[in-house]
Amino acid sequence: MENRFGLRDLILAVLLIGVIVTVWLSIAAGDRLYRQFEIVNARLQSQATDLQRIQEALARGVATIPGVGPTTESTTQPAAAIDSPQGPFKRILAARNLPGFARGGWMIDAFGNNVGKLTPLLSTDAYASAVQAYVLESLADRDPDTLEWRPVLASGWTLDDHSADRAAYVKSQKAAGKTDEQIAADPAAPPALRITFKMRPQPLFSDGSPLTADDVVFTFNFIMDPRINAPRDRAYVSRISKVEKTAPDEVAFTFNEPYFEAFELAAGLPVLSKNFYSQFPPADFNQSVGYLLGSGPYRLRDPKTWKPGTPIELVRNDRYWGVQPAFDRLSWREISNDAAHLAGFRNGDIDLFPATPEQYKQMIADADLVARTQHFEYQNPVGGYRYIAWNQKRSGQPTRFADARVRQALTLLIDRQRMIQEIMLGYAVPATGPFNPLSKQSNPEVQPWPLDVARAQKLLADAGYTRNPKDNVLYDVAGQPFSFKLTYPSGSANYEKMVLFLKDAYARAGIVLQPDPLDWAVLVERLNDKNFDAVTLAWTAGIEGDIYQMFDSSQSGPGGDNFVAYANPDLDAAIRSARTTIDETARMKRWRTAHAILHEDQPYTFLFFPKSLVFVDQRIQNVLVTKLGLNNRVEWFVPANRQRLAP
Amino acid sequence: MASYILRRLLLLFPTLLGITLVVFFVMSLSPGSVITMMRSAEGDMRPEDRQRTQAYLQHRYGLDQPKIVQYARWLNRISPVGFKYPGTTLDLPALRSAYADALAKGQSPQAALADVQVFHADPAEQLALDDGQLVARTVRTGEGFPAAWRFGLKIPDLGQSIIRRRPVLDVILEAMPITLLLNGLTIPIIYIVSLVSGIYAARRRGKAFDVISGGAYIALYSMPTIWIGVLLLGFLASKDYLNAFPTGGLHSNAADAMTFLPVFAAGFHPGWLLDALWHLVLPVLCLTYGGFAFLSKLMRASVLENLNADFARTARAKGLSEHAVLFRHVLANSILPLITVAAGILPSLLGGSVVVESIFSINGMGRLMLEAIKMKDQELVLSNTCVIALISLVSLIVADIAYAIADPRVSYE
Repeated sequence: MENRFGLRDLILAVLLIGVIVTVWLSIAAGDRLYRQFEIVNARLQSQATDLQRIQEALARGVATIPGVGPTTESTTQPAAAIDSPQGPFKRILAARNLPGFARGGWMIDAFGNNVGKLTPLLSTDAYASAVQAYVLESLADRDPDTLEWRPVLASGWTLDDHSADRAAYVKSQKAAGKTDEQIAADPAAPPALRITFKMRPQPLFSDGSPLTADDVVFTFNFIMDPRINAPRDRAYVSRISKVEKTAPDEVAFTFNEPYFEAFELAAGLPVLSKNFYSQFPPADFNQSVGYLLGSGPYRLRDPKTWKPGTPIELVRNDRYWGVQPAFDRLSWREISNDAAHLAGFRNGDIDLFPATPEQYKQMIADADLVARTQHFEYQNPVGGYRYIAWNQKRSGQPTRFADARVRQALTLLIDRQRMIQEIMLGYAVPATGPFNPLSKQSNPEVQPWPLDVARAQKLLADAGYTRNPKDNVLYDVAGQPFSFKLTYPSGSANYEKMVLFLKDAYARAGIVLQPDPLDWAVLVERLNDKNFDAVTLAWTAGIEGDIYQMFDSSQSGPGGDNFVAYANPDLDAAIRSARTTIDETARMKRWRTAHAILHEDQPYTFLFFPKSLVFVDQRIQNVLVTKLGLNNRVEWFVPANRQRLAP
Repeated sequence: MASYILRRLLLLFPTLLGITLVVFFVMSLSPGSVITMMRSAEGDMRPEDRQRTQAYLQHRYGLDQPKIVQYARWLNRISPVGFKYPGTTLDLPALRSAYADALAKGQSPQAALADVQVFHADPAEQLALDDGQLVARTVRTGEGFPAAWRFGLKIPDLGQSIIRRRPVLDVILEAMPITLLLNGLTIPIIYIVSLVSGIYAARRRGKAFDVISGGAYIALYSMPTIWIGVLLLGFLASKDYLNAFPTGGLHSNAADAMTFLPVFAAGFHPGWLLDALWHLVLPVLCLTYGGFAFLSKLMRASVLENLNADFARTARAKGLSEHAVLFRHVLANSILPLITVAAGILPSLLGGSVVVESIFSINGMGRLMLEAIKMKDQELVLSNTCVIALISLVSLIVADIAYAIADPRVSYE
């Protein structure tokens, strides 16, 4: 009895737990205070450094930013370059003149997944690159109005095409009995292409150090360092054979092979800070999660302490060398659940909502929601297309899809307009080939195959298929019924609907389609082993896309993406010559030839390009659709009376 | 008692071994691999680039080795007793011949070095060129000792997550406190509610409260969390209905700038602490509502049994009030079964938080595990399983010990 746990013990236990919780809470409160203090301290320190730099510059009596102070002859850059109407910031400057423009406020977006890493080169997801786009800058980017390249960190460039010299040299060396590898390693060989960028003097990294040609060279060498865990970027930039500083404000990229994306490779390389990134040993860098520091309009508050799972917030880079954007902060929340994402947008907690066709249709029917939001439906120039790929060779034997007439017939049997209406609810455009209709690569003369059952039946009859009146199924010469499995990724309602639609369409012509949903991991393995009849999937396109890996006959081996074993020498020639042509007009002509061949041959049945459907909160102004999709968020703003959160 | 505990602790290891063995082989024998999954996450790539990347990743994470070797290596890494510095037998001659081969193919010395470093050397090794000769720059402890000498106590290493490209330990340390916080709030609520209502229902057996609470708990228990979670979001967190709670996450947007405690200055500001609690309401609600049925029924049955027991009749016969009988005699005996089931609840809550964490966008163990399984990240799944299994097994032992302490009739001698 005496040992019984009584009321007094209970009170004591509760009190004890209470004391422990209180102590723990006060420790947590102290920690929070300390973190805030550290932020303030870091900010003070960076201001002190800036102040010192300004004072030193004043004492020397030279201009810190050319054109603003007393003009000197040291720079060739005209003063107006940054904020000229032609410069990279013309659209932000135009936004500033709009009524209601105000600086400040937050822009809040959501990610559907956890972002594990923000460190450039190490991060693998699209979300991380969306964040990095505001922090890192490259030498040039595409103008959203014209899609032409325009200088950003560089003030200009020259492009020297020596591919003819190179080809001649390679030929002479080969005649002398040298191997390809030996020629590639030969320092005396002339480069095929050389792109020289002139650097702007103004750019600074957000830690205050100037961005120079050295940083560009460092970036290339850093990616090429085998100890850095960046195999993907390394594979990509390894086409550049050399990056060197040719003058204090000049950097040259050399290519041994002429390559159509060469300029994009060089100009689009996000420039990393030598000062910041060279301080980490490779092992530390490989383990890092938030080492994101660049010269862009926003910065991560503290690259060394960011942890996954904490909110992703970029604050405005006060040292930005260009024109400052409007928002104080860009913030991304991680919302994994669709219903929660939509509720967050409806509540006004989130400013952006990319919708599926079904959601979009429901949302535009909601008058209340439409009144307090703005919505955009546009064709994304980098959006991909859906297709059905017909496997032409299985375990070494040609399949029934090896006959181009059969493939054409299978395309002619599909009513793509109805398919877009029923499956994508009208939010898609029919595809005629692998190139986005907005791209210059797309051949405007190619017209989509219509729905033409009679012609399809004739083509199938020519190919030796006869219809058995008993069961209404087509039989081939060998007496086998025309039946195939259509593989698609399981778990997607949209694909499911599409496959059922196709099954219906083909059943009418006497072709039996068996749906074959597969888990993604299994599906990828089947594609690698080329062990399938037909598969429906999507590829992403680009402003200028490369179709070599999907359609060139050399890519039908193991690991290649030409998993349908398609081979057409004319197409191979068109693709290969387009890829090595630097001149744009000539290149586009070749891409268009390739487009026409693909349309005629139908190795894939190209279905449609889905449209992007986006809802944006009404308080955000100056959201526009450009040739690159929605305009950059640095051009958006919120009028002062509708800003919600303080800096 | 001590020998019993020791025996139970020793039994832990074969159990853990069995669990990880099954998980490892189920993972690695299922089709698809983390490399193909990462490939789809990274988007398309040129085939030759992809093959290079694939070979690099496979080599780096040892996925190109036989499965049994992979498992043995993992086991050795996480075990506190094992071979130190495995794989440190540097085979310099082999590396040099690989380097010579690369040079013979016409590669530049730098490119050849990179090739050997990436495709032939152990990831921990750093190779360099010294006067045209390939040398290793890594300092190796234990180099040159035979394997038997390197056997001994060591620090367990949970390995590297392939998809996160970070140490698994770091990833778990970030996720674990969040899941523990959720469960730390959930378990006491479930216990207090079930205890009180179970006792009350037993005393008023067959009355309205007993029937209604019993029915209601069973009804709650039968509702799937995924549905209730979405309903709660739709009705309690949406502006169209009752916009009372946040839609997800653990903190508000501007939580960093908040004071710690609530303040009343020009209106009410909840402060950081209250904000965090406010965010926890819906997830905790989702985790608790299904747990009442089992425990309250258990409590009710056990109180009823004891109320009808001989000792209760004796107590009543000596004139004690019904109140005293219940609280001084019956209650202590009735709580015993709840102690034994406590251990079983923790693992099931860790499992239940998979759904709740993904509905409310909370980065806990549940979501981590789900992502790891989806992406087939072997290391992360194995280490997570190991940690969760360890927690479950230890809580089973703790429950057994607590049972012996609470009930003097039970002894493990």
